[in-house]
Amino acid sequence: MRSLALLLTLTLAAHAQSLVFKDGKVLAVGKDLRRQGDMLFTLVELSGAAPGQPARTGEVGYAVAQIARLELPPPALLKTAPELLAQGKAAEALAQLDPALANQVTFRDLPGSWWAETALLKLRALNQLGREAEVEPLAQQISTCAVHPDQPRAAQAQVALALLRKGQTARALPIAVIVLKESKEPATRAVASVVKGGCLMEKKDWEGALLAYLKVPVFFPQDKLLLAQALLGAGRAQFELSDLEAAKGTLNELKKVCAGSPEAEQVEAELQKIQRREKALAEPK
Amino acid sequence: MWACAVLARAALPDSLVIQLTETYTTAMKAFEAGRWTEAAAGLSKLVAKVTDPADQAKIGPVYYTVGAAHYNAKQYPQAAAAFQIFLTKFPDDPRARQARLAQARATYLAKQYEAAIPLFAAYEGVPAMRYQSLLVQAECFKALKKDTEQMAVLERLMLPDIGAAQQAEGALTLIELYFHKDQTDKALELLNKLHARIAVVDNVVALNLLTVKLGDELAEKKAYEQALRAYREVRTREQVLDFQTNRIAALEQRIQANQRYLRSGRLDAVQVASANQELEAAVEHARKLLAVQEKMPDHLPGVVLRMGRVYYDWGRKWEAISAFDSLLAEHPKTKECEPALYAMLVCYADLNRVARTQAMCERYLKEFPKGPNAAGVGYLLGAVSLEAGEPKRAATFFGRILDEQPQSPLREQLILGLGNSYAMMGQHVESRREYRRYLRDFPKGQFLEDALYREALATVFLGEYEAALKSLNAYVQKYPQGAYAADAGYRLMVCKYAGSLYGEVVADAQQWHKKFPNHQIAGEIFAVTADAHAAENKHAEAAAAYQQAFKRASTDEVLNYALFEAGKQLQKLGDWPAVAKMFEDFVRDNPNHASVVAAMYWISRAKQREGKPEEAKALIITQLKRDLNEPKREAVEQLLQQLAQLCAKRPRPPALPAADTNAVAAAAATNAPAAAATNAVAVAPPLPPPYDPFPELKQQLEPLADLANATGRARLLYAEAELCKLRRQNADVQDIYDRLAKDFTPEQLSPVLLALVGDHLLEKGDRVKAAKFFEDLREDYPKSNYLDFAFNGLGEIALAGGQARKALELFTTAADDLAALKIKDATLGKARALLELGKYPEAKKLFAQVASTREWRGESTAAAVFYLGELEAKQGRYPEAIAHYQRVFVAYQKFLPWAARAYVRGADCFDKLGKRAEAIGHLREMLRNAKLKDFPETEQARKLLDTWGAAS
Repeated sequence: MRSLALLLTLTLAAHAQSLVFKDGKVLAVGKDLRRQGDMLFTLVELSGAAPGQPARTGEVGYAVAQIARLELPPPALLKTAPELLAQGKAAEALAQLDPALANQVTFRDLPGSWWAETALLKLRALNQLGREAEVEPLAQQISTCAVHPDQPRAAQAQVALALLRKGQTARALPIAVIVLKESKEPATRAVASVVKGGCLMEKKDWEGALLAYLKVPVFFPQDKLLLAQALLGAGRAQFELSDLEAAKGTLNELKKVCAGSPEAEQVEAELQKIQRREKALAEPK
Repeated sequence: MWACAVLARAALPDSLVIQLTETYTTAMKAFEAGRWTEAAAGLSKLVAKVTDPADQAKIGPVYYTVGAAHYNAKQYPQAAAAFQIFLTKFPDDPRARQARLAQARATYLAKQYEAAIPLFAAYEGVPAMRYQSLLVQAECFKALKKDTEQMAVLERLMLPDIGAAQQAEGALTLIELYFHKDQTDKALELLNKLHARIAVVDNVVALNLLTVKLGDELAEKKAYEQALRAYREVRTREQVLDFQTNRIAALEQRIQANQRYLRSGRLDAVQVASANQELEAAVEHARKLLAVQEKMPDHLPGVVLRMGRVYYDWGRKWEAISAFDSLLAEHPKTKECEPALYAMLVCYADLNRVARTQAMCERYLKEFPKGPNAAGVGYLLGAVSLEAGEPKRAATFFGRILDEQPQSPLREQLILGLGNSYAMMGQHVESRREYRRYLRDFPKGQFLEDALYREALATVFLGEYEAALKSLNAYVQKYPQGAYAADAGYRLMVCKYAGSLYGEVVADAQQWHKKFPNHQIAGEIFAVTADAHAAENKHAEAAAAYQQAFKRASTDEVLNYALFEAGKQLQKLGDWPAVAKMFEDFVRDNPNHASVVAAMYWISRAKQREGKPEEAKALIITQLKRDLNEPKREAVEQLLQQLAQLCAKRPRPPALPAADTNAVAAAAATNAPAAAATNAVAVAPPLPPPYDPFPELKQQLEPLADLANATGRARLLYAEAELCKLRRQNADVQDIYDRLAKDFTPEQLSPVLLALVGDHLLEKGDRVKAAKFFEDLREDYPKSNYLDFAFNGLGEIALAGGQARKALELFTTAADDLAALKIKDATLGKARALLELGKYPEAKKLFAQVASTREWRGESTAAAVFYLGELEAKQGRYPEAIAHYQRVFVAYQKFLPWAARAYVRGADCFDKLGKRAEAIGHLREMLRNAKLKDFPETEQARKLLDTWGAAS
């Protein structure tokens, strides 16, 4: 199903960012906004010291407790980084994400902050780069700063993926199952489905693995990287279930729709396994 | 009152001016009061009275107001005409623009579509009017049923990109048009765009419904991939509600923002009021939509069900199951669950996943006992089991469903299915009972003939031949051309045979062949005819009939029976040449049949009886030439064994002349002097030298050596090994197997040799190499008769490597699932794995089974008893352990390795019981046994005795 895009249709002030206070007041702020402890400081324009005097600027502080939310434009990298990740360019994505996270870190716990969304992208990059050890701590931070209820679940899905990559399927599987139960977001569910599939393959529950993997091409085929993983897993599960025709079909589809992916490069070896099995099952000449 | 002023200045008589002024005033009052028709009439009257063009030129606003009054009164044709007049007379009037727009609208509302189109087209270039212009043009073309033009206009509306609500509105229409024009790609592309710009879609529910409709129509047209793409675009109920809630919040925020700008002085009050009025209307509209959407049920289960069905129709059963599985897990109490569950079990049935189908059927019947498909599912539960060769389960299911669904419309099939299940199990009393039940409950049933015949058949199988004769005759009478008429004829002969009516059997058979020429059960008829002849010791007739039987047989059961019975009959006639010829013909005509090896055996015997063993060998070589290089033909190794056996026998010397033989015999009998004997044997050939079969084998195999590939060459070596075995040259056997392991890769060997070489390597302790051979056997020859060697061998390797759990899995497959040549070793292996895993009761059971199975008597018995001792020892039950160990070295002492181990372990147990003297006694006894002197346990025993200070 289509993802619910975060609504950005507010056509508000000409200013890009604002502080919205709990009493309804709104204050436009610039890039000078900074935090110090429980206070947010920003430069504001003040009138001249006396009539006729030129306007001045001064820094004014506001208690964080007074702030209802930040209204910040979404950073451009929320579009560019996913594209890089989809192309498998995790290192490049990370090069954009790290500085953005550093910039946003002081505001991460405030409603309206983009920090959690950015950090989720970093989790994906870390998993792609095989830096699984860094995933769990970052996911923990996201859970405490989430602005959308699905963000902690998305983070947990990435944790489960990291655990699967490390071979810790006993820990990964229950996390994936909970995420599938609680999350309604397609992208999050896709990751959890791949994790569940991988864990069940370890347990030799071929059919359970197959049904989990197939959730991705059936419901979430947009994410090509996950799709490639899911189709490869599904093809392998079908092989173990001795449905060789279906396995061939799935693997050939992987070659077609995810050409160039690391998984597509493994297809030939899998097809050869199938060929070997078909030869083994053939009647003698 | 300018009009009055104008009228006053007009070149009109005063009285007319006064009248017209009054008319105008009255009409305008009516206009202001909203009495449009009256206003229009009055103003029209006024206009009609001003005839002077110069005066007319001064009352432009009146003409305009006439049009407005008609418009407001919904008198659109009149309004359009009035505005037309106004525009003609006053083309430069300041209100000309409004008049043109009003004229266009009135023309449209007057359903003058052809005329309205150009009027609205004129506004396409006006940014503020562009969308409305295009939308109305599209509506006009729609009303005129001009699809192509309508589409063209709507396509212009979409340019350059969708960013406004009006465009979204037009897009919905355009999508439907594309679809009806079979431009599904365009429809889908636009739908995707629309979904990507959801913020401008006013009514997301309408979009969703259109999307589902599009998906349905694509599915109907078998455009499966596109249908699925459409379904995936549908938003969930939560998404729709979230979207709408967020939209309302965003609009409210805009209203508040506008009010803040008002306070800040950035916008004026008029601007704010106007903008906020529109926004508030939008909020109101959005709230109404939200209220409607909140009342709507979740449509997602319906969409997922559709997706599952599309995948099913597309032939992608697993994907269909995945979709249905999702639906059942995530929307468990919806009305879509029943069809989803039913569809899922149909998928599993299509995929031949018997256990899963059964489980799904059970689940369906539990969750939907009165569901619309309950009857079908109940029947399927039994039918799928029967088809899978599980008659016991099928009988259970059919029986249960008959009880649970007494009104099932499939009751006939259920009863018949139950009867068939019992018949398959050989439970003919029960099967007949069910067939009779059917006949009683459904005297006019659709399966009456089946039931009648099967009831008779059950009676035959029960051996109640007299009753069976009656039943069969009743069937034949009722259904002379019935589906089972030929078979009934056969069963009647069987009954007569049982009653020793052999003559009738033969006569009936002749009649049968005339009535059913070339029937597929002709083989059975010939076989029973032959049986009748054989019962009367008419061997020649029996042999001929059996030969006909196997030639005409349509099943292996009949073929094998008739072939070998024919052989027996020919043997009884002493006609060995005929035996040989019959089997030779069989082999020639059925070179790949499983009985070829047995046939070759009989040919060999016959040829030897004829004194022509060379011909037997030649025939084997002919057969081998065909299949030597085909690894899956496992008969090759058996034929090579036969050849080795033939070569192992010294060829018979040529027969001596008769007189000489008498003289030799006479001399030998009377111990006549050597001279007499010498004379008598002067012409006898000298005693032959010791016979060396190896050159004979080599010579026989020579023609094969030329055409053998690696697989063939390995097999030829195997033949040599077999000959060495027959000659008890065990060291040479080991050498050959060493060569096979060293000089050939696993890929080159046949499954038989993979098995044997693997075992050889395992015995030598080369587990790594052995594993490769076993793995290749397992992977490449899953249908081999030697497959259990692989599982057993890999089990041994796993056990030796400390992987008891893995070993248990492998041994279980070998012992329980495959249960072939290695069943004994695999059972023992399984027991040992269980012992390692601490599962003592299960292990004990299996060890006891091995020890007590008569057919397995031998070393495995010694091993099993030894392990029973180990099992007791592990549990600290030393006296019981000792008893077992003692049994090993007393009753199975010829199995020296086990005896050696048993001595040492027995001593160890005695020691643990504090009975050192008995322990020492055991070890000394062991050392006295010279046969055990080279075993490592003997050295161990010496060391123990040293330690205990009891060295002898």
